[in-house]
Amino acid sequence: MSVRMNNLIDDVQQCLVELLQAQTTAPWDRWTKILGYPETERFSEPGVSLIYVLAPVILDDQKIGHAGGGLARAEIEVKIGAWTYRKEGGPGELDLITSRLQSLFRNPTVHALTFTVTLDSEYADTTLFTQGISVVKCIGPYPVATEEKKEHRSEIKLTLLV
Amino acid sequence: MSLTSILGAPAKNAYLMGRFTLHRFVRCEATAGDATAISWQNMSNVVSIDIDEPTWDFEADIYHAGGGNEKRHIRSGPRWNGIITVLGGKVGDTLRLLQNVTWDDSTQAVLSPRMDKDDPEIIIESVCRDHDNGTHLFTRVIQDAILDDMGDALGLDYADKQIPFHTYHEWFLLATSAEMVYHVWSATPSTATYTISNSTPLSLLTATSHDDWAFDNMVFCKVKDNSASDSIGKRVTAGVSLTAASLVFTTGTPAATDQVYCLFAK
Repeated sequence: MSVRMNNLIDDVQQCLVELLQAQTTAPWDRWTKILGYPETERFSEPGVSLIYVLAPVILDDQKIGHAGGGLARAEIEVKIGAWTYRKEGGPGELDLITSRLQSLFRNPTVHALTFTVTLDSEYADTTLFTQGISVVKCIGPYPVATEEKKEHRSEIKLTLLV
Repeated sequence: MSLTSILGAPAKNAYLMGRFTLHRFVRCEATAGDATAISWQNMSNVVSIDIDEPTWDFEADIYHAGGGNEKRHIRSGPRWNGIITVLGGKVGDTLRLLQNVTWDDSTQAVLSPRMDKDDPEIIIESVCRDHDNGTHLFTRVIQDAILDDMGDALGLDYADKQIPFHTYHEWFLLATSAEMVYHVWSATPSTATYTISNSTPLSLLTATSHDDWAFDNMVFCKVKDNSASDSIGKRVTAGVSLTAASLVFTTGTPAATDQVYCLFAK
């Protein structure tokens, strides 16, 4: 099974969230991983650092095509962010989250980490590789401004082939 | 299939990322392991290993009287040139590894860039894998590579270095799940049978359809006659066969001090 091409944006986002949620050892267990922009969760769940996965953006829709082909495999970019509050560790915790994200996605072993995701049906113990997602690049983190001085946000950018 | 057929998206394993390829090698002159196959050594610090299309010592289009404009292309003496590109700081370590020499300040402090011999030195397997590092796609095999004289370049920042090589025998692609096995035996006088470590040598190709291949299930079998100052061994083209469990000579049984080499796949 690969992610559904006609449901690409959502499927990839779901897979990444489930992959992150499957990381349950310390310090991953301190952080809540959610799908999409986290404003509601941020303010309804104080006291928890968040990792959020934004919707993928297609950078190159013809990255890997073949002659006579229809749909090509695409290069997409996904922003994954971290959002913490000073009482939750502040900049130190933020840097820890983004470091862990970097080491997770920069290591080729990320393709073999298992998670369970429900797309058109449930895929238990699947992997990014099985879902046809290849991590090409992981850059950042890029700080994101916050309204509240005691809050800290930062995002990494993943480049994927799907 | 019609004129307007549209193909689907390429399969996820249709693209190949070199960073998931494992390069490994054996030395042609490895110490005899007899019934134990020679272990392949992993190559770290490799950026890429590239090999060109062949050049030929002799090529010609020939005609014969009465044949009109119908011609035949003939050629002989192939040579493939290649390059091993290595992370600059590790070129010495890689060269040392390939040449099997100790390179340090107490044994041999100099690695010479001159390659004076034209003897086969290494067999390289490039194991191409999918991006999970676990799904084998295929393997490229470069047989009997001979290292060439090296140049050098030291850029200001990041610098690759290149180790050139050539071979007189064709490189080839090995199918999914298959891997090469290399055996070296110290010959025992009058012994015609040499045990291999694997009981299922693969059928490689139909040798009678391909130049430079003498056997369907062996890339080569060589015998080196040390008593005749033979430095590289000669490819045996008949009188030997690889069976389910052993290499068997029916003619030309190796003599004492001879070395026997066999490359096949499992």
